[in-house]
Amino acid sequence: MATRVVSLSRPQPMQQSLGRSALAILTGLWVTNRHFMRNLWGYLRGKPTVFTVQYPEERLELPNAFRGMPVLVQMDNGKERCVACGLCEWACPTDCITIFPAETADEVERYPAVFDINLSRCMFCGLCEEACPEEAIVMSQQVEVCGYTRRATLWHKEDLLVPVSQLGKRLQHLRRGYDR
Amino acid sequence: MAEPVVESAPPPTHPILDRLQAQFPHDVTAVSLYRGDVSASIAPERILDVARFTREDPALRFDMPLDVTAVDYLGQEPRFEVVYHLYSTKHHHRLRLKARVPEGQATLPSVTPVWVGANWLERETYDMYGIRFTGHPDLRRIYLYDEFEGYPLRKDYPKEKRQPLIGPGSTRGESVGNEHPYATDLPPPAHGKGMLGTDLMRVQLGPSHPATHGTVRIILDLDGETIVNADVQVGFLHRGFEKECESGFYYQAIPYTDRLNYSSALLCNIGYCLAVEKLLGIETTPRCQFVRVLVGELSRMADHFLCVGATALELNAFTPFLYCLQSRELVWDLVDAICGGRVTSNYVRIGGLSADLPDGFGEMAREKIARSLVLLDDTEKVLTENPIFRARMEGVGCLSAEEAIAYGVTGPLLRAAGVDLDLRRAQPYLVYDQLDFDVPVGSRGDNMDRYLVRLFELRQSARIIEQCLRMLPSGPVDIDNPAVRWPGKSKVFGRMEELIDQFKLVTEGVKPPTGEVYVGTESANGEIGFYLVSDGTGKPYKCRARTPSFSNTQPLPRMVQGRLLADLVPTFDMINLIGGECDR
Repeated sequence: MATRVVSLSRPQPMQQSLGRSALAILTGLWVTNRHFMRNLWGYLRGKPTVFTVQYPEERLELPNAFRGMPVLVQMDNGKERCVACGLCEWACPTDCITIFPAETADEVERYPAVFDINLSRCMFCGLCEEACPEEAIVMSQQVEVCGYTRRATLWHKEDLLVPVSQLGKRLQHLRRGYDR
Repeated sequence: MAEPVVESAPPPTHPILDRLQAQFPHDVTAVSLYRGDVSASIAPERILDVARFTREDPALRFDMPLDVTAVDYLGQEPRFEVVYHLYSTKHHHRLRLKARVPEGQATLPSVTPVWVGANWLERETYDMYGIRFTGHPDLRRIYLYDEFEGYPLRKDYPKEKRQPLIGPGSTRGESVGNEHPYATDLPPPAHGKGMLGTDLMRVQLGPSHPATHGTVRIILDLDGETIVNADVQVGFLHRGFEKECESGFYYQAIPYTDRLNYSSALLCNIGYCLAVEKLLGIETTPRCQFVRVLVGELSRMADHFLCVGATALELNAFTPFLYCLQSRELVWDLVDAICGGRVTSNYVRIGGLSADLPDGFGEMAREKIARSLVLLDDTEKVLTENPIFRARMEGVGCLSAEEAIAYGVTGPLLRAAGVDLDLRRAQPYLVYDQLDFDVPVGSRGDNMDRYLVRLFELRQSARIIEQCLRMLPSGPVDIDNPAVRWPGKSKVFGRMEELIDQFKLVTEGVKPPTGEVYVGTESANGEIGFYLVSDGTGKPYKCRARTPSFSNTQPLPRMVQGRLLADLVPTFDMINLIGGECDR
C-alpha cells in the first residue's frame, strides 16, 4: 500500500565524538550488567530467567505440530493400521521406506510383511504422513535416533510400531486440517 | 522431449521484444511471452552484441545479470540452450535471453565483458554442462573438483554414477596455485612482489575456519597483512540440488528447498511454490497469501538475527551473539509451532500450505516477537555506537552501487550500496502491495551500512507480521482444485473419488503444461529465483535455483582487495554466505 524508501542515518564520525564513544562503552556495560543482575536475581529466587535448557535433564515442551521421526500407528489390537498400499514409498523424496506387502484372512486383508525405514536417509519431511490414506504412518515426537552401526539405523516394523495413544499431539495437529 | 513453449501466431508483442527485434531483425530467432515472462531466442554468435545492446539501450537498461544457466534438450539439435536472466534496476523489468548451441561445438561468446557478474555463473554452466565460453577470463570448474569426469547436469549423466576416488594425493591444490596463478577477475600484481620487494605469501583461509561460518575456502595472497588478491572457492557443500529435483516430482523438491538457505528455509519454500504455481497458472487463496507473507517475514527475522549475531561473534563480541541467538530462538519457536520444524520447515505446498496456523498463534507471536525486539534493542545498544565495532565495520568492504549491480548483488548488500531494490516493493508478489513497510538504503556501501540495513529490516519484518496478524482473512488456506492440491484427509478416508485423487497426485504429481517460468522473490539475502522448465510430465525438466549467496559472494575479492586480512572477516560475515544456498 505504502512503502517508503528510508535513508539510514549513520552514527556520527568517531573523531568528533570521543565523549559519545565513551558513553557507548558505558551503555554496553550497563546492558550486559543488567542482564547479568537479572539472571543472578532469578537464580537466587529459584526462578532462573536463563534461556538455556539443560538437556537431557530438562526438556522442551514440544508443540503439537512437531515433526520427529516417522512411526507406524499401532491399533488397540496390537496390529499396525498400515495396509501396505505403498503411497509413502512413492512420496518419499529420499527412498528411505521399503515395504513388502502380504495378505491375511483378516477383515483388513493386506498388511506389510516388511516395513523398513532407513533412518540414516530419512529427513523427517513428513511427506509419507501426508500421502498416507489410512493415518497409518505419523511423525512422532521422537528425535533421539542413534546407533553404533549403520545397520542400527535401519528400523523394522516391530521397532516402528507405536500405540496410537502416544501419538495424540501430532494426531491432534493433523486432524485440524482433515476437513479442508 | 517437448520444446519449451513458443506461442503460435500472432507473435507476441512487448515493448522490450519490439526494441530487440527492431535492432536485431535477423538475430532474434524467436520470441515468447509465456505467463508474463519476456523471452527472446538469439543466434548464439551474436549473444555478446545483444547483451551489450540490452545493457546500454536507455529503454532496456538490463544492468544486472541475475542468472546464467543451460538446459539440456537431449535428442534435439542443437542440444543445449544457454539461458540468461536479466534484470533492470532502472525500469524494474526482466528479460530472458536464450541461445542454442550444438553438442559437438558447445561454445558461446562469454558475456563477462558486459556484466562482470556473469563470471561465476558461466563457470557454473561450464562445470555442469560442459559448455565453453570463449573470452572468459578464468574458465574452470567452480563446484566440482578437477578430476570429476563428465558434466553432471547433462541428461545422459546418470544420477547414481560414481566418480573415481581421489585422495590426499589430489593435485587440485597445486593446479590452482600454478596453472592459474591469480585466479580472480582481477589483474595479477606486478611481478608478484610486495611493496618492499618481498614475495607475496599465500594463505588458505578455510574450508573449515572458525571465522568463516559456512564451508568455503579463500586463497589469499598477502603482502604483509594486506590482501593483494583473493580467490574464493565454493562448492564444498554442493549436493546436486538441481539433479535431485529433476529426478523427483514437483512436490518432492519442497523439502530440498528447505536446505538451500537453512536459516530462512520458509522463504525458499515460498519462492519455489510460487514458481510452480505460476507454471500451473493458479493463484492461492487470500488467507494462504497472508500466512505465506507472515511466515516468510518470520524467516527473514531469523536470518537477519543470525547474520548480525554471527558478525558480532566473529568480531569477538560474544554477548550480542547470545542476544541475537536468543531472539532467533524465539522466532523459531513460532516457526516450530506452525510447521513442526525449526530449520527444515517444509511448510508451503503447491496451491496451499501443509497446515493452517495453530490456535492462539496471534497472541503467541506478538509476545515472542516483542521479546525478541527487546533483545534487538539491547544488541543495538551494545554494538552500534561501540568504537571497536565501528572501527571494524566503517569504511570496510565497500562496494559501489554500479559495481554491485554489475555483479548481480541483491538484497541487503545492494540496498546498503544505496540502490532501493527490494522486490517486495519493486515487483510486489503475494500481498506485499497491501502492506506498509519501509525499505532502507545506505549511503556508503560499507559493512556498517549492511549492518544497519539488517537491523532496520528486522523491525520492518516485525511490522509486517503485526499487519498480517491484523489483516489475516478467514477462509481456507488451500485452493479447491483436485488436480493440484492433495485432498483433505477426511475425504480421502471416506470417499472413493478423493482417494483416487490422492493416489494419482502422489504417484504422478501435478502436471503443469509445457512451458518455462522464472519467479524471483526477495529472500533474506537477496533475490532467490526459481527457473522451471516443464515438459508436461510430473517431474520438472529443469529446476534451477538462482541463489543470492552465490552472486553476493562473487565480489568478495573486490571488497577486500588492498585491505587488511582482519577486514576480511566482517566483510565475509556481512555477505552472510549460506553454504547450502551458495553451493546448492
